[in-house]
Amino acid sequence: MNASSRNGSRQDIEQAVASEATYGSLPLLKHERVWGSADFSWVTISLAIATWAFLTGGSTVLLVGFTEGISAMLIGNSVGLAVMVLGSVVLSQRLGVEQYRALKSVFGVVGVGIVVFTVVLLVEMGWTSLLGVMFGRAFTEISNQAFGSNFAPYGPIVTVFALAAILLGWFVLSRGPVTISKLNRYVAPGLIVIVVLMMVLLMSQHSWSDLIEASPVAPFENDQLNFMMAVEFNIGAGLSWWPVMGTLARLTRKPKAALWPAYGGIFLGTVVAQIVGMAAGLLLGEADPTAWMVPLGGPILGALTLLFVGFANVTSMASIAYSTVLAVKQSSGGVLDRLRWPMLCAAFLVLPAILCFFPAFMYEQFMTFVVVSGAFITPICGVIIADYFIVRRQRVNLRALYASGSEDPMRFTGGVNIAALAAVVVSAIFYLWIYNPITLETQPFFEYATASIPTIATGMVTYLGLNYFLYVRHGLGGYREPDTFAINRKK
Amino acid sequence: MSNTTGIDEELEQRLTRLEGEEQADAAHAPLSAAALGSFLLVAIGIAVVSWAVVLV
Repeated sequence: MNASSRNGSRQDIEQAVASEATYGSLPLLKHERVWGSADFSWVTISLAIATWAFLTGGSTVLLVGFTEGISAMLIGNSVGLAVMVLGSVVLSQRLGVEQYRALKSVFGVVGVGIVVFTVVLLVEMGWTSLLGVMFGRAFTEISNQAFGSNFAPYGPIVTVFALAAILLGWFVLSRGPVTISKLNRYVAPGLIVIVVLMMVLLMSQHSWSDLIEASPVAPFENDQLNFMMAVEFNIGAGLSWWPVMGTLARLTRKPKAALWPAYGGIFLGTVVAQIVGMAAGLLLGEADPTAWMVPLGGPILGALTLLFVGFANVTSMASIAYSTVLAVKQSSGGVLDRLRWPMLCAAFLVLPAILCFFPAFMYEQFMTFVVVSGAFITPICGVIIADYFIVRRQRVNLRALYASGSEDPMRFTGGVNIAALAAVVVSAIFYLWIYNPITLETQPFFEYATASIPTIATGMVTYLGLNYFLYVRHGLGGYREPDTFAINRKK
Repeated sequence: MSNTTGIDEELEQRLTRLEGEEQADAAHAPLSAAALGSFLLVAIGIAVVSWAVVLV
């Protein structure tokens, strides 16, 4: 490739990203909403069958056996995904607007920035480093099998490979959205093949009764507590789709084409991959797919599968990092506009790269990480649901989302909806009081009510009260603005 | 023409079109009570049935 074509390619990437970062935040027109139910279902199923679903399944059976694990997975994902869908997909779909622009109506323009630069950024950085460590462990295992080396599962070589994964992730990410979607076209079907292959191999070597009777890997004494912790963990896993789902849903043609595929596609993909993770975790005694793939598939098939899983992690990493970096760029109020796309991606990957130096910490704290993420995403969704469905009654003025300065009816208090942020903070503290995933202290009612459901209720009630007191009764927040699409209500 | 002006013009064109000819498009329909109710029924139903299976 000569210098001029290299420059041209770089300009194309910058242009594609800049175009999505700027024009992507504009409302979509009818001809741009290209996904029907089937298209969006395929997208969500492909996203859900990712390597982290194996790990989620494997981690679930640390606490419970197969039958209870399936129940915990179904309850957790059903509740978590329903809350996630109502807190992201519905609003963005109706308006045809990118998620963080739409959330200006809830948090205010500066408030959205606060949510993005705290919760969204940290959650997605955590997932990115976890994928890097999984890649590192996969390649360490391949090396041990192929060259007879004896590298430790959390040794420095894992960090070296994890950093290589971050570098590869940066390379893919810096190539822009087209490269990411091209890679995903091959990775998603490949992972479906692996899921089926692993389940066939598992059940050819073990019986169903082995699976049903297998004991949980590392449970606590209290069975009910184990079950509820597994449910709560799966609710957190379902909620973890919140940062990316609304922006995808805006491309759908009708509300039902967004609602059901976002819920059903993720639910189906997650359940299938998690069942394999659970079965392997119980029958082989390891939650981590990088530890059970070689014993299951043998040295050649196992190593090849690990190789694919390793690279699948890189595309997953690029996919989640892309949407996050884009959200950060859009929420920065123009501050990051001067930073070139590859530099911005590199800046995002610094913290995940540092976390890769602590591979054991990232893996062993996986459940804690998912639950803590859920502690913040749960009240965020509660506040959004309360604002959109109860206060606004699905009435949002599209023009107000793009207004600024004194003309902005959604400016709240200096661009921050204090009621929304306060409700999120108070409810997150409430969640951690009900169930502290670090100390594992729980309140008695956690064993029957979960932590997420009371937190959503608290978030909604706190928000409704504070928001009425601070904004609604004073006519602030754009709650009296006309609905742009009011004509649809008469149908 | 600066880039910002171009985006502002594009935004204005889109808003005008969405407030006019595309206002009645089915894509912008609010979620009906029936659709919301059936969605919640399915989600809660899956959770309740799964919980009942464990209890039994």
